[in-house]
Amino acid sequence: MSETSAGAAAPSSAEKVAEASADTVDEAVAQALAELGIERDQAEIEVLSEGARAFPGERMSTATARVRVRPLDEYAARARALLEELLTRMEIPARVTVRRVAATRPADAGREPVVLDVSGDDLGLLIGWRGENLRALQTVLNLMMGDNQTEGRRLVLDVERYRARREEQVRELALRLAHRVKRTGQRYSLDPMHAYERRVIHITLESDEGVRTESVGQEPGRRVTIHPTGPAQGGPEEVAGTFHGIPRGPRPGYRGGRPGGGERGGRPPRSGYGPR
Amino acid sequence: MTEYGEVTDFIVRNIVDDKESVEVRVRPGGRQTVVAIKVASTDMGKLIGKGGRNIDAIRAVVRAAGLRHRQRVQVDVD
Repeated sequence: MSETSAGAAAPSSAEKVAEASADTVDEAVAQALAELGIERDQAEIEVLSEGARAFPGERMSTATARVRVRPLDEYAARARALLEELLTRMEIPARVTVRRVAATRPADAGREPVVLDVSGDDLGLLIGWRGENLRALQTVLNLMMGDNQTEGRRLVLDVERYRARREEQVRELALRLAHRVKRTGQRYSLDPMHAYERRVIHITLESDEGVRTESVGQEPGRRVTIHPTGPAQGGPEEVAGTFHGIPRGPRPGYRGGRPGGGERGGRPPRSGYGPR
Repeated sequence: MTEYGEVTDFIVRNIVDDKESVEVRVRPGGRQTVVAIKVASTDMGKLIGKGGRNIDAIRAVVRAAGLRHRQRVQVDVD
């Protein structure tokens, strides 16, 4: 169930890793931490399997949660300490967990982003309107870390899994639209998005040979266009209605044109259809 | 220094090279608090960032800290 090279004989602390399985992620983490003899705030947690999750009306899955835990490296430890101190000064009580995620594509192996997960009560303020405060906090944190984006690991901030959920939505949107583009043989331009979200779309569709993606336009109006690489393939239409899966519509009092603003456009739903 | 000053001071000191020259002044007001930042001229680029990216991010974070107390915070650079 677990493999550990903890102890004084370990060749280097970077290789101390413990894996554990249990019914829940929390239990598995606790086991792995005990094995390494460290506290949760000194550890980087990689969830290999979420384990049992009972959705309403669904039978309890029998899967077990599996985690891999390793001590924080110097970079992650420093990032975590800076964020915690910043939150303390902001008088926002919250817990910071360092999460390791798999590289989004093979080329990024070894440069996995360090994800700092902030959790606590009433953190909407830290997220802000459509994540603008979250992005600002991430920018500030990267600046304090000496922000060297060409090398080293990327530092990603998440609050209450906002980014993770949003990323999943964008990924689903990309897959749905790629399907549509292949079916109709017509390109599709998405609404302007942030660089991070555009990146999710490019990466999601990178391996789909039926489409090609590109970003066009200037910030903050830069948007992804999905092009077909072949003729229309036909096929069933996707179900309308839940097409975007992302609530649309203008922010109350939003006048538009602000950088960091109109990430998902403020049009009525129908105008989102068809190539532009 | 009120907490907004502390938040600002902490961020700025961790960004600039010349930490000695950092000066953060806070002028509290009824509805709006003004935080004024002063850094060495050599650090201005780092503080402001490309197209104001950095200072905008700092402003958003300090504003968020203020919102907790229903206080508007304005961040100026001297």
